[in-house]
Amino acid sequence: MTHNTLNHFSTALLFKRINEQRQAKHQPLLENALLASKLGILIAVKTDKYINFRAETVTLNGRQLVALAAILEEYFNVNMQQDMRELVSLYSHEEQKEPDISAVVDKTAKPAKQVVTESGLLHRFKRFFAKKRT
Amino acid sequence: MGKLTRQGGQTFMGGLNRVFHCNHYNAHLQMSILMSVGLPEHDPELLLIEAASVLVQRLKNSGYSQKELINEFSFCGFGWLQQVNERLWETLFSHYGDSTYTHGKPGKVGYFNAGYIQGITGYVTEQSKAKQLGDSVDQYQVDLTQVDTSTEYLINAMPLSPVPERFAFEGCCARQTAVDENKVIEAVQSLPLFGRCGTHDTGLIDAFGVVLTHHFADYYNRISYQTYFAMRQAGIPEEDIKEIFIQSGHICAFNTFGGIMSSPEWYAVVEPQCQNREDWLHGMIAVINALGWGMYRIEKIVAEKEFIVRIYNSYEGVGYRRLYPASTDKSLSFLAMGAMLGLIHLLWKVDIREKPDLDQAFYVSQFNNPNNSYTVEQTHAIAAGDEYDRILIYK
Repeated sequence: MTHNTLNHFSTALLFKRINEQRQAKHQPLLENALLASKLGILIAVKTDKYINFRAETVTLNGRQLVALAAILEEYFNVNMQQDMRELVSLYSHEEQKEPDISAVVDKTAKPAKQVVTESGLLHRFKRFFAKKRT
Repeated sequence: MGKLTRQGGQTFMGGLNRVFHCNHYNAHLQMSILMSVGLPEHDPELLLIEAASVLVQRLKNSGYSQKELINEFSFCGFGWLQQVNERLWETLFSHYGDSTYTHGKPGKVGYFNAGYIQGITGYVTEQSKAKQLGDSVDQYQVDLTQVDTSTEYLINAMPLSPVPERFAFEGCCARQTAVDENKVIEAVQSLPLFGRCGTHDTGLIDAFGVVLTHHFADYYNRISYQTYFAMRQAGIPEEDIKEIFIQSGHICAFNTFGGIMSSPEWYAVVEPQCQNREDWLHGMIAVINALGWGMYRIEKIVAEKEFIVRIYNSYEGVGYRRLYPASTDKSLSFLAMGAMLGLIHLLWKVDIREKPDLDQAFYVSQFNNPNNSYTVEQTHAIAAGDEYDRILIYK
């Protein structure tokens, strides 16, 4: 994998794998909305590039993927390197079966303009901010 | 030790306003602050230490002795603090060391304690041993370098406003309730919500299924807003930053308000006055009015649709103005937004009256499910020059 390769994966699956690992270690589960906001902030702090983890999918280059793995280990106490390879591979496999370019999210897009499937507080705040901007 | 006084919904000790908060809020807030490690010209670890140090130095300058500061550390539920020698202090028990937590790798969490000791000694202090890293005790090393005293941040006067009586303000359309607010406040204020520092004591406050602190409001405001501004400066979207701070309030409400509304004290004092869910809301608002968070007034209740709460002298609003000039942003009371949303969720989404087990698995299952969830907005803000904070919760 080079740093220029783009890797797409589902955020819902990422959150599920994070919580599976945390559960296996007897650590408390974390809500999807909280994970999405924290990962967006942490990846921006560590890489200078904001990525919206509230979208259905995220697209990361190799460098960002490495940064994400380090963030997950440091801030969520999970080792996701193997899982992320699987998530990327799973997404590619699904894409080949049923191509859908609309599912690939522009990583520079503003959060409130993107499709959000997560539930929880964030979804509700999003409505507020979207309304505020108009 | 400072005498407790109350004014306009605020509680003061040693001239500084104090607020009750639980270990979950303190843990989540500290985790949020520490997410900003790596931002340019911003050192969150130093921020956490200095924000405490400045306030303790203020107390010292106002006449507190070292013994009084150590006693107040316990009284406020921060733990059991002692000096080992000139350069070494330890906490046999501490709120941050024993009751807070991190979702990440175990690490040092005693920034506040280090700041407190730094304020007492006037010398730069860092945590040197941590129970969370396997040490038997939390220890703090005092470097004999004098603290930079230019970090004072309470630069403005506190803008306290008169508080209207319940239901007696223009625009109020909430119906009367049988819940006697004064009786509830009096009952809460009579509870032994303080830590002790005797030989067999811990200096911690175990209550309502959580561990409480009677914390410095200015500490919360300083660390939250400095981090918010640093993240905004780095180009991180406002929505994400506000979300993590509001989430801390929501988690606080779930655990602390949930614990209170499940407690024997609630069932002894408040529940007998309640005939319906709206009364439970009035009862819990009365409890909040004893926490030092400001004076909450319900403006409107349309059950299962819309709720509006005004907060006079909210500790975030008046605290913001104590630290900064007026803002143009009207949604800066993160704790109040999260707490009010959490309270409505406890009553109208979870239905706390059915006494569910309020653990983390239940929290995640509830809030990963969008059904019957509410939205929160802040429409007025003391931080932006308004008379009160106004929080709107709706479906």
